[in-house]
Amino acid sequence: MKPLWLIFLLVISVKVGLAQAQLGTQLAYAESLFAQEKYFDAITEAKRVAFFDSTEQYVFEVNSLIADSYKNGGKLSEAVQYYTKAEMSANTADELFATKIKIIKINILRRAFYLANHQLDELEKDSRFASDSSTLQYWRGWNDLFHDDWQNAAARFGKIDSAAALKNICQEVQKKKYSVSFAKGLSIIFPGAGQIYTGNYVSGVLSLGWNVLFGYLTVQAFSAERVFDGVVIGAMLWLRFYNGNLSNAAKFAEEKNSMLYNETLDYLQKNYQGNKP
Amino acid sequence: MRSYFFFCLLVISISSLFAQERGLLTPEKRKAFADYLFCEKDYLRAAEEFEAVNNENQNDSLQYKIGLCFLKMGEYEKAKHDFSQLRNSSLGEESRLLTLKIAFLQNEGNKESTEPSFKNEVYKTASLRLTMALKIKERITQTNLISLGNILDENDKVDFNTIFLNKERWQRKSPFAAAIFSAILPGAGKIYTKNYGDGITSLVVTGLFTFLCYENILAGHPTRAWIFAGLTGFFYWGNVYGSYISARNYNREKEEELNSEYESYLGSKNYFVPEEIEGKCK
Repeated sequence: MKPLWLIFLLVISVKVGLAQAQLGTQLAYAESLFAQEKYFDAITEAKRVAFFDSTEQYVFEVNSLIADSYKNGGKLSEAVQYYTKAEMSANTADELFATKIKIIKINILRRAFYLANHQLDELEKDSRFASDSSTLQYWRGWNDLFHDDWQNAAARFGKIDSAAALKNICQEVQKKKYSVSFAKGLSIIFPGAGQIYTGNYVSGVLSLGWNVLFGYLTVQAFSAERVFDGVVIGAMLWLRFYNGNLSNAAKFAEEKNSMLYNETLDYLQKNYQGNKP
Repeated sequence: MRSYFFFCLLVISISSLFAQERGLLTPEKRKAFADYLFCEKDYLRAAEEFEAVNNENQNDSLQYKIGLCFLKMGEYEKAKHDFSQLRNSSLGEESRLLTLKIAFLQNEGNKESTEPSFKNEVYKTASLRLTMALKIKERITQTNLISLGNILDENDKVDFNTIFLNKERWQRKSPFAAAIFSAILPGAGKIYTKNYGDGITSLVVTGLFTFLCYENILAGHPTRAWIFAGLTGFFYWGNVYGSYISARNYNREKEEELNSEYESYLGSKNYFVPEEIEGKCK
């Protein structure tokens, strides 16, 4: 009788062990699909593990893998959803911190700057992560960088030794940026000067020409006591070109800054070897 | 007796060990996983899993679920194809009803009229309501509203009546009338199409250029008078044409608004299709 019991127990233990081993193999398969950049299939297989993982042994790994796959596939909202699930099932403080940082990185990518900042504040207040202040500073720098606040980003990266390269890039961008208010101010004083400051010479000269022409016609009309003509030319033509000159100056400066922003992010995406969102 | 019992248990356990050879990819497990994905609204993956099981073991209910996945994803042609293969199966009536729903969603005319009537009373009523809703979508009339009244619940009758009245009462703006109004008084056509801002601007601009033209004629500046006359003509005819377009835009926008209101109402009712036939999820 006893041997039968023992064999039965052995079979049951082997069965349970095999089932868990199968899940482990399945998870490894999902991870290999992820490594091959087959994100859709990686998500399917990871979800299969999650569905059959009755003991919830792999919850954290599975949710993290699904989230990573969604993120690499460009589905940021879905990625956050699964990182949040992973966060809730994190086994250690390190896993929790790493997952929270991943959520922050996605928020930086989707330009949810205030949310990312708030999440960084929360992490900073948490005593478990007191030793990770430089990591938090580093991601604050990235948040500022994506927020087009290069000066603050440079200051933050300046406090971290390993981020000197990023600091230099931010300082360089800050130097290259055009001041929108300066461009506008120039065009207020001298029509077309703001456009010339931003490198749009033809537009600047044309703007100057139109303003001189309609200014002259307006003054001439008033001098000849043709008040109605003067008002109409002044209000409908001169003022319109003068205002257009101001908005053009601001628009060109913003466009140039936006180009600089995109080029820098593109450069960092392709060439920066360190951690990035 | 007891040893016989343990022996049986042992045999079952060992055989279940061998059953694990295919791991998580046995048809039963794949189906359970597909059902889970379906309820998670991950329809693309659910369809793939159902298809994998169906390829191994053809089954009407699996085919039906594949169709449901495509329907939920908005892949109507694929869904119709799957449902069309089930017409003579035990899920034939459900498939026909869902095909009718797809016809509605795809703005197709009612092709179900030549088909035999539904045996199931619930589906029969649903199909009648949906068929009539489709007719109303194409063109609402008092007659088909009355026919619909016979097969609707009291609450639905009230809703349909409101939709009918909204559709019936709104007045189309005639593009030709708008153009004529603007020809008589610049901007009046636009005001007639409730485009008040543009109407007043048209009146002011055309009036201003006319005045400038007149003043320059009086002042003996023929060149300037011609320039302003040209501008007046340009704005005048532009305003006439603009009023014609404005009336057309008004009609189109109003129709879109009413159709969207009607569609969202029907969507909230799941197009009268019982939700149970679209997959149960806890």
